[in-house]
Amino acid sequence: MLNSICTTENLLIVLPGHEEHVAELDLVPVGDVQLEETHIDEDTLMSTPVSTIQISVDLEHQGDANYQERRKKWVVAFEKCSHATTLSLEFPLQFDLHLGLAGFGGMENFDADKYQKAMGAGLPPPRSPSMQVQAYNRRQRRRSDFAQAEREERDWWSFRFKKVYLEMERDQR
Amino acid sequence: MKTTFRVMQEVKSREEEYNLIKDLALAIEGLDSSSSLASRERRLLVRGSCRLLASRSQARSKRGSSANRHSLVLLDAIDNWDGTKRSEKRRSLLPSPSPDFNAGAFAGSASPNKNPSGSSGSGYDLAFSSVEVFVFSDVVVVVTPTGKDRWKLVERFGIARVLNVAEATVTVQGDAELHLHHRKPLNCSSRA
Repeated sequence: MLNSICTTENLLIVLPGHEEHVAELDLVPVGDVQLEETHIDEDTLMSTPVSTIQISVDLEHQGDANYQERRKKWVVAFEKCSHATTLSLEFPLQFDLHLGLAGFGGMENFDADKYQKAMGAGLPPPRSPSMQVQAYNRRQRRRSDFAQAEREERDWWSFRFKKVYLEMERDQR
Repeated sequence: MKTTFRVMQEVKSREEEYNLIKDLALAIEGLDSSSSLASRERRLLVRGSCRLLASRSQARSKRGSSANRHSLVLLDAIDNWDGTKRSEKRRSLLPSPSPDFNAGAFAGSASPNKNPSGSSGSGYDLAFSSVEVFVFSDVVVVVTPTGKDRWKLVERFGIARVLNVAEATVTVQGDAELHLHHRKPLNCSSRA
């Protein structure tokens, strides 16, 4: 028994009669493939059994003075997640699970617009550092590749910056 | 200038979050390595250790036409927003299923400690186990630790979309429970 206890850092003892605030969630399981989908397939969702769970959140900070605030933060996060499901079902054309209310913020075509503008101006397509690794592994590196890689990466970060800026601006509205 | 700096910090923090989720996805058993859990657009809202108290699974009846289903989902959401679920509920959990603390509970085992009778009066399976929960902007991921920085998806709702959220107050009855969290295990042998 002692060995078991000394291998841990946090020990929580829940006594009988203890009142506990819990979050109750209705969950619909999704598969790996569905993670890529930007919209919920309503028929699949409605035909999947619902799991309802009760959980006590943030165990590591349950004794903290600001635990109530932390618990609220969890509930707000669950509610945001739940809103995404509801909005995706109600506004399948405007709401993108990955971009959020993209259609309402005019950001739905941001990536495509920027990409087309770069290509139209004769510039190389913007590539993130990881995309560059994949691209250059496929062919032998030449000296000129490094200059192009530098430009691609710079453009990619520039696009990323603009996109995040627009998202932040939209969220503040 | 302030805005530029703020946006640069945000870009940096999002990249760190993206890399964290990529690492996490690789460490979760049961998640396809090619799955796209990690995405720059999918934001991690909160993560942490939680205690799974109870769960139940139910098949839904067919709900008629697509339009009707739309309305039902919206009505559910309005119902929640309206305060019926926002006002806290009071519930009692049935007595703890097992008077002794099983090895699984001590080890933070993935297998929940189920009520011998199968379910509680409210239709819940009592399941006292420690889980790690990741709440993303569109899905929640529930895993149990299987080792150092290794995880396993919880069965049935390991990756799930959230339909409804409610807060409730439950009263633990019966025997005391011990919950041990071993996110940062100490090396016992070094103390010997």
